[in-house]
Amino acid sequence: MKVKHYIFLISLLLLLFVADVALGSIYISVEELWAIVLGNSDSTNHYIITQLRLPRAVMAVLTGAGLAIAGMLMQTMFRNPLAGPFVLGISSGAGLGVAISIMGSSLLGFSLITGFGLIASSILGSLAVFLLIILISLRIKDTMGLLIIGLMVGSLSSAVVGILQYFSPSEQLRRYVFWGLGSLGNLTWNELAIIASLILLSLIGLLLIIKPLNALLLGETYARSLGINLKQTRWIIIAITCLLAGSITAFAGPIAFIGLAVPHIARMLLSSMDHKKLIPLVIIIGASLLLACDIVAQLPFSNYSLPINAVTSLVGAPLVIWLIVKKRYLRF
Amino acid sequence: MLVLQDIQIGYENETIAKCVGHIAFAKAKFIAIIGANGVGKSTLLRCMASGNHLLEGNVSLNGIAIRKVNLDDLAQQISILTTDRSISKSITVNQLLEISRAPYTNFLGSLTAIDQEIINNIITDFELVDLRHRQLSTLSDGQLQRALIARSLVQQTDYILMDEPTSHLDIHHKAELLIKLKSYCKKYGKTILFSSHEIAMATALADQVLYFNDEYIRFKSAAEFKENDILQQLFPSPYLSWQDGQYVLKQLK
Repeated sequence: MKVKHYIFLISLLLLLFVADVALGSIYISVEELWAIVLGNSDSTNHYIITQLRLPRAVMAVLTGAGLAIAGMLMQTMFRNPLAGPFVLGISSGAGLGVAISIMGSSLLGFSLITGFGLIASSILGSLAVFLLIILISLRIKDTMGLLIIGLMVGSLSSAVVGILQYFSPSEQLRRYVFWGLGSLGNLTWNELAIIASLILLSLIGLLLIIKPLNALLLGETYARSLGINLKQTRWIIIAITCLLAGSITAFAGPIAFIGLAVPHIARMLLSSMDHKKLIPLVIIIGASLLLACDIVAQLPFSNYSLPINAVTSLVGAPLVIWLIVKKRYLRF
Repeated sequence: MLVLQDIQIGYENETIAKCVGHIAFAKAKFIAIIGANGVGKSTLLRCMASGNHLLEGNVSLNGIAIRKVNLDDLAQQISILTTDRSISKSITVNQLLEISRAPYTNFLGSLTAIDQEIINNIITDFELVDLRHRQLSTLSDGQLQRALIARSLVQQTDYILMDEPTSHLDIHHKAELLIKLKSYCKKYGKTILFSSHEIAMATALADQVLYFNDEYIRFKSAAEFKENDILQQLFPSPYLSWQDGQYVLKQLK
């Protein structure tokens, strides 16, 4: 990776961002975009851009970057190429938290549907699953066992969600089903600010563990012998991953494949495992990929749109298959 | 100085080995650890590196209990080579060595010119120049072992604890490696403790021998170790007879 490659990727990111804002059921030209952003227009388009499309594009950037970072952290921590918020059930945990807060109100006797309650229960749900996985991974060292347990935990939480769905009134059920399809839209600037500040907080935490993350590439025994405080590092990784996966999943729904695929693409482009270089690249690629998926999901020039979760899976699954075929296997 | 004092090592209250009194490891010594499979060689090395598996007694480094030594200080004084290979195979030899300078680098792990020079010297000494930019997954077992040994030296510690450095190597490379490690000890005043199943070679080259006999960890000079019938006790077999650190296969009738 040379400087010109970075410039190319950053320009691509900017281009995708502008395209995501400009394209949709109606096309808004780039000149008009400028006028709107500079405040020289107040038409319906002004509303569409500032209240609908810009927040959605910003959310795509935050979600793509955040989930990709969460995936990278988990892959490094478990030294497992298949780790990601989705595979290990973290997203399912967040989903369970959301399900309880949306549909469990009739059972619990109180409601948590407010924005903050939703984020908190989502983060707690992902934290609970992550802690469970870590407890199990202390006993079971092999990759396959861990992945199967992740899948089991995932289906356990969907079972609980299923029971909740069965007993909940149709209004709440509908709400949960829509959440489950994933959506980057319908967010206010205030909600975006909450997510952005959580992500910013995680990035600051990330700075502190760049060296420990690199040392962890040598395995825990060697990392410790290099003076790394494993317990502290592990907790920072858990905290960051749950903050990212939990807060993003609360609002955007479960979004698959970004967390798993993006770190691999970045490592392949970089041909290095150094987290100092990896982190910026993972952020750029994660944001670009989700922007691209969102453009597809909007089905430009039509009156329809697809759920974002379906699109990331449509794009992500072939991508992972291609990576495995091209590199023979995903190794770590 | 690294000192063992009345230690008992093992797992969950099951002692597998112990020592009586003090055993102190002086500077610039090449020390072999000898014992049959399962007597606790690896456990002892882990115990000295981090205080894990220590049930009783004390392991101390310069007068401080090993578990109390600040992690950064410890990393500058003791490095390890383990038999566990849960290392990421996607990093290159060069990256392996760069990461291993962690005890001396800033919070981002940036390398200085001195770090680079140390890495370059080790790479030349251990004939890793051609392998420098290869990923670990592309190396043979022996090459990987060489890279991991270089890794433990790049950390520039007073004590280097090696669990079976000669495994995965051909016989001539084993001899070459042990001789190289011994001269490294003497040249830089470092102490290497290494476990090995190459008894003849190890005892011939080592200054001192740490051995396991009936649960007891004992420490003798290499000459003393070879004089007595210790090897006969450590590796009893009706088919082997031991002489001066070498075995002879008895004729089968």
